[in-house]
Amino acid sequence: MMASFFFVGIISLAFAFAVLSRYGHARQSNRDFFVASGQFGTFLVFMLGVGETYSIGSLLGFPAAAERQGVSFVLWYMGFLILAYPVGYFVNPLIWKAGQRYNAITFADLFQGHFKSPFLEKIIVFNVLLCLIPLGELQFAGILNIVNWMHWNISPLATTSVAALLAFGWILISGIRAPAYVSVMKDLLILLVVIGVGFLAFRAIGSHGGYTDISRMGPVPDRQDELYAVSTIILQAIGFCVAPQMATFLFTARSARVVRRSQIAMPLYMLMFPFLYLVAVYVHVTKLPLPAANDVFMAAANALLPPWALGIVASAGVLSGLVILAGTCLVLGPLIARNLLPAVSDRIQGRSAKIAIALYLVFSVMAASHMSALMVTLTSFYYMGIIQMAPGLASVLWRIPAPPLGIAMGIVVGESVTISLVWTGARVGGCNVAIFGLAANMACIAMMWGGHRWYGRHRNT
Amino acid sequence: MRDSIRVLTALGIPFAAVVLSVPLLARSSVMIMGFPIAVAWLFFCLFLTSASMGIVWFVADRKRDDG
Repeated sequence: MMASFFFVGIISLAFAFAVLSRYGHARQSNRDFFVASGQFGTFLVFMLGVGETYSIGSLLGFPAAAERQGVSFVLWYMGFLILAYPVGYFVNPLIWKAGQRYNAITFADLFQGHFKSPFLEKIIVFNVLLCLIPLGELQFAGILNIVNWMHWNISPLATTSVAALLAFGWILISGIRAPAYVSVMKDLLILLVVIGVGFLAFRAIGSHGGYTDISRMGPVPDRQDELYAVSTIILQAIGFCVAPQMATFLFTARSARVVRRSQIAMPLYMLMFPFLYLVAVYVHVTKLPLPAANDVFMAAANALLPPWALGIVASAGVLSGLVILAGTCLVLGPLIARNLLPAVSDRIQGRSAKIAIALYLVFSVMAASHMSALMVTLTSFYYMGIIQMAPGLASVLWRIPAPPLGIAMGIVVGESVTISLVWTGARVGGCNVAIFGLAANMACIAMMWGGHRWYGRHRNT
Repeated sequence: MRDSIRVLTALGIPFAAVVLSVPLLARSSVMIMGFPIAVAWLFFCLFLTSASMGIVWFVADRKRDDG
């Protein structure tokens, strides 16, 4: 009863925060709605950017995979997140400047502004949509997982529908400002919850015979695991900065200086990971029964905390899912309205974006009812697609005159190669197969560029 | 501060610390404060990475007009 009281109270408070974020911005243009008119300072840009680290996927997926796979998983997962920030320290200010140069609201605007190719713009939109579609489903699956622990007698469809309505409500209230403001509350709660459960897990491990079993958590990595870890760390550290959500968050910043400064403290914000690791160790050592693979964190919280505190844990987890969901919607909506319907008025674009967001939420609710794959696996697929846009984005940032058709074909070829390798289960030396997709992508761009230049010279003579 | 030194300090140091830890520490059975050494090292890298970027910011980038 008390757990439900805390849960409903905290979610209601978050809704009040979303309403508060509208203060002073009652009449919003599309630019204000989607990227806050580029008015955010270091703190809010930091909260938006780092929110991706404190997602429901990290909260549930990290301890679950650490408990199952041990060091092999922790190395690549933490490794890529740590390196994403110094990569962003140099790349993100360039993305912000390109956004200013091309008056961009969406990731695809950068490509349209630089290459002036509607075909490439559409390829980027479809690729981003393909990558973002699993994210909505992922958040709902996590929310369902968490709400199950509240033991309410409500159907999964009702739970996800209420979550979708909440996220849509936030978006309608004040666009990107709502998830930015709620992020502050969400991150404070997540820190409190993770440190609290991690500390209790640490104490419980000590009274349960100590750390002798830790080294046996998951198999010892072999050479192939190491190669996979190194290739994934490099790919995803770059992919994290190329992600379309990141571009949207960067466009909310006041200046390139704000963007760069916000990166410095981000690695320190990952200090919840040692505590999540301790939770995994606790579950491993005590052999706590798990109803589902991703229940490691919630099972530990249930075992270690008084019943009323589970409401706080559940609300923190659900908020982290809702914030990422709202952020994803705010990337997806303008992509459809602005880049697929460029000829319509600003007002119609705004309405179309909201309709697209509503349809995406409905689709994700339906998809979540049938999803069973592990969250971390889905995240890996996401980066495999995102990374294929890196060569094109590099051309935009450093103003390289690569042919737009080459960039578009590179993305198609790179993704085809990656998906084929994943489907056939090929483990080429243990490397992350997206590396071969990226190599095919760049080879395709080089060939098209060479052909383009040869044709140009030949035509002139 | 020259650009190459900026990149080497803020990106090169964390990059070497994280990537080299995989072949050097992943299979070690040494434990530090209850954590496998590879995991403990990554936790240390959180501070190292922030410090690397912080140094470059305070020494060079803070004074740049474009950040």
